[in-house]
Amino acid sequence: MKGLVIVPAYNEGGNIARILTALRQTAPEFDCIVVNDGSSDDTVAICRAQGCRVLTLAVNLGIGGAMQTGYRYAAQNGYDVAVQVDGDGQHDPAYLAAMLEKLTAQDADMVIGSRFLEGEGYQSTRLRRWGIRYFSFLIRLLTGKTVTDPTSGYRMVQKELIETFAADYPPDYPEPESVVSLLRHGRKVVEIPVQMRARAGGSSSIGAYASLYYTIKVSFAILLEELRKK
Amino acid sequence: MNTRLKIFLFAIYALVFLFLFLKMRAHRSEIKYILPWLFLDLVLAVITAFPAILNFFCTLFGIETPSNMLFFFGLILLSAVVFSLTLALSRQNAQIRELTQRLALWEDREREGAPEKNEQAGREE
Repeated sequence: MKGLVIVPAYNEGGNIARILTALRQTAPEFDCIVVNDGSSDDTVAICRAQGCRVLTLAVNLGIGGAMQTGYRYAAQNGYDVAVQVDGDGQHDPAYLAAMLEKLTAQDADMVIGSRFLEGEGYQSTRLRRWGIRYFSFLIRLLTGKTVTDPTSGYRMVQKELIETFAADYPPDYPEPESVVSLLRHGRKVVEIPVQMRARAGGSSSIGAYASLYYTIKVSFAILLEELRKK
Repeated sequence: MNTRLKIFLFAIYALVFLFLFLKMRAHRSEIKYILPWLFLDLVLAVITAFPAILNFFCTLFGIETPSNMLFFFGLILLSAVVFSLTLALSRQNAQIRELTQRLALWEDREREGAPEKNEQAGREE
């Protein structure tokens, strides 16, 4: 089994070293690739100093384009499993073993690390929790399946989905949209409880005003996904 | 439409035509993207020259003054041109995304070669 950790990073010079160290200590069986989404800080230098391989995007593509690059890399190099661990440090690599276990034991296509299954650790801001609950409700309405944390980026996929995502991944705010797409195509998406950390430094890619736009855009994307031919 | 308005409109159409023509001649913009604007300019010129067309549509849609019909017509065509640009922009976004990703993967290969574990897996098989 060849596993790859994809770390999307945009100006995460303050966080990335800690994550790479944690990955090496807790999940040495996974290869690691950092996708540098056009950072202007020392993210690349820090990763290389740690001996971590870096894919550098010449222009900033956003999280969707960055993750798709990681999936392309995984597909090209024949990985069996790929998992996203965000460069801001909110995803604890300690759960990787449990996620892999769940993926193989349940023969699932995707395992999502959910903040809300047990409701422990950083629960995000109240406004965002409402937003996530709303997406969760929308997904249950449309697909009949329950996903408690559809916006979570902490997700592991099997080989077939690596190919799928390498070919086609939503360009921005990809998480809820891709979950709906998978469920509609009869893929098995399961969750395990994880605790996330509030980001240690830097700033989120989604600010206060952008949250409203995010909600509207993702709602549209989810509804459109429903209307697409399978 | 009175003669004053007609002369004013024709002057504008002529200026726009000249501007578009000069841009194309200077190769500063692709003909493909200029053509819809030229088409718009010509269509507006034709219906300004033959108000009978306008009158026909006015009666059809119940619009009272021909000049209003003309502007409405222009607005519709203009929207079509702008929307075609939205489509072109979306297509180019997808192309840039693909190019950026391929470049990143290619640069990585140049720099580091194939990943080690992959080579091992290849040998085992």
